[in-house]
Amino acid sequence: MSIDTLVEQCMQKKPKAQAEVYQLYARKLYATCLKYSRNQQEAEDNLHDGFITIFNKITQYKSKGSFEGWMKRIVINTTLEKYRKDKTLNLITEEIPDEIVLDIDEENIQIELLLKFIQELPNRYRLVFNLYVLDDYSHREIAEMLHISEGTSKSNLSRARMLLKEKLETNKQQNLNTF
Amino acid sequence: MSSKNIDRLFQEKLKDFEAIPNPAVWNKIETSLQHKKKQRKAFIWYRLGGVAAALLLGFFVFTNTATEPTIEIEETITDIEKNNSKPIEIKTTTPKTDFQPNSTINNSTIVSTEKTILKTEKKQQPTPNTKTQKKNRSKLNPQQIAGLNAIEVDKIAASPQNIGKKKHLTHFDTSIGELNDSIIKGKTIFEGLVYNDSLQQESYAKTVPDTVLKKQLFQQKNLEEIVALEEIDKEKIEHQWIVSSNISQLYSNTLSNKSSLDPLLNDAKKEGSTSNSFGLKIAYQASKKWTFQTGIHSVELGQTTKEIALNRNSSFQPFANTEISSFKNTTSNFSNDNNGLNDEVKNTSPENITQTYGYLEIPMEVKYALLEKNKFRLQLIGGFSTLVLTKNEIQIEKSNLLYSGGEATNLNSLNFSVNFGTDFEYHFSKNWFFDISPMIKMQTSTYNTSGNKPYFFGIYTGINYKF
Repeated sequence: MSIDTLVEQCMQKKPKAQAEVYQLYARKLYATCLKYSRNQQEAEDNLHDGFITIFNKITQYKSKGSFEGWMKRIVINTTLEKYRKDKTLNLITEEIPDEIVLDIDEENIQIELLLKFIQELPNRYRLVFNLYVLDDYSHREIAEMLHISEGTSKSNLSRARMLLKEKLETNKQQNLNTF
Repeated sequence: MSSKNIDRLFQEKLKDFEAIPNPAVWNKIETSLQHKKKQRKAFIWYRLGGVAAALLLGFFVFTNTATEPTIEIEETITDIEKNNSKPIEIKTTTPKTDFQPNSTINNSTIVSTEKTILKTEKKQQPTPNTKTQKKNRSKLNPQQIAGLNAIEVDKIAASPQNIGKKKHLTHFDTSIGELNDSIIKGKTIFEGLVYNDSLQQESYAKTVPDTVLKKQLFQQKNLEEIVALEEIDKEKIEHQWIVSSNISQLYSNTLSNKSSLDPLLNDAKKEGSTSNSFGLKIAYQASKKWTFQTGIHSVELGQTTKEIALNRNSSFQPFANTEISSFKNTTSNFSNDNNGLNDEVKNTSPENITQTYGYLEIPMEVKYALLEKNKFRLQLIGGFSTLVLTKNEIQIEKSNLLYSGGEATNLNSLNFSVNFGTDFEYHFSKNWFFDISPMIKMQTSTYNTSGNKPYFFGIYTGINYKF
């Protein structure tokens, strides 16, 4: 069944089509949720809420962009909605270089570890880092989405990078010590 | 070791990252979606109920006043439509899960514990492939894990950087039993991770023990099965409207032998009539188990009072509760009144009086599915019917000759019946089924002067179409 047919049937609220859409895209969207949420539990909740919104608003999908992209935007928005209100204290912006380079034994780093580090970031740092680095949104777009200024978005990103770097380095240090 | 931009590291590693969510998520989504659907359908049902009520009211008004009944009906319906045209807000309340900080802590504890186990293993039997070890770990039994932890705790205790971790580990040690479940849960998260990076995928496939792969497959299969099962269920629920035409043989009788025509005839022999009913039925299947149905049936009932004699000489109406125009006669009960009979009556052969009355029946019934097997379905039916009098006749039969009589004066123009029965369905195609439904309907307030309590028993058979 083509995606267009599936979408059409979902518009008619056909349970079979809805189940198929879920089966096709749940893994990718769950990955997105895991990155944007604080833990597995919240990721599952966000996935749930996201899919409910998808199925309820599917008539608004105009088949201009890719269906997957549309769904991903909804899922991201669902998570943003949840964490947006959370104000992170804005520290006085320090001069942090845009490029943070670190020495790392890449082979040794597991995806789940990176995921855990992202999840441990304060809400807004995590959102900004995800949006900018992993999903290619610009600072201007992020500012709009999170109702913050571009400057705040930039400084949040820098702080997110710093925190991640610290975590990675601590992890490396621990590994060295254990060996 | 290489120098790496932190953004690039995350981008590359997480680019094609996918994960299998817990099947429970889909179940919840499905329930939420269904719930909404039900709400919508319940609303449709209320609307139908409203229309039915309006119709009933219309009939009532029509049969009682017979003055400008159509205007009444229209007004009612417009009212209902007005109400319905208001946008209906269906509020979804997604259950918010309370995040327990504990679960987060547990998760991270497990992660760190797992890490340290991994490290311990490394130390004991150094192999270059960390992945293999990680997966091997899943084979360890709790005792082994506990053992490893003990070792690790000692080791960590010696290293100052890890003091923080020790706390987690001790906690883990003490409650190893209860955490076992969560470890398994924790593991499945990681096992659920799908690595699309070709290199990783390769090594993953190589090193993942069969059991883990099977488990993944099993999980997925499980989900598929659940989805498939639910599809079947859905398909059934999808066909929610049923229309049918049916016909029934009716056997009417009465609980008491009291005559509706005249108290004098209370002791006379009576016999219920056999007649037919036909009609249309509309049913709505609200869930797998529950169905509501209504419709319109034409019903004819009757009773014959046997072996009585009529005295045609008197100018009185023959019975208390009738108006019979063709005679100006009185009656005496043939069987009861032997002593007082005059010759004329003695010469008269016994006569039968047949009372027939017809109704337009509008049932409101609920059906509950008791059994469902293959193409068969057994349901219980309960409900009530509104009966609107359409025919009222009294005929007198003498020596096989039928005289047209008159009509009963004590029949209520509107009455009700309480209905019970079963319904047996045979589904011979996706949309069509046949049903046979024995029902008993107890009438209430049929007469306004008599204690005669009629009931009727019918075996309704019909061809049904569901959509």
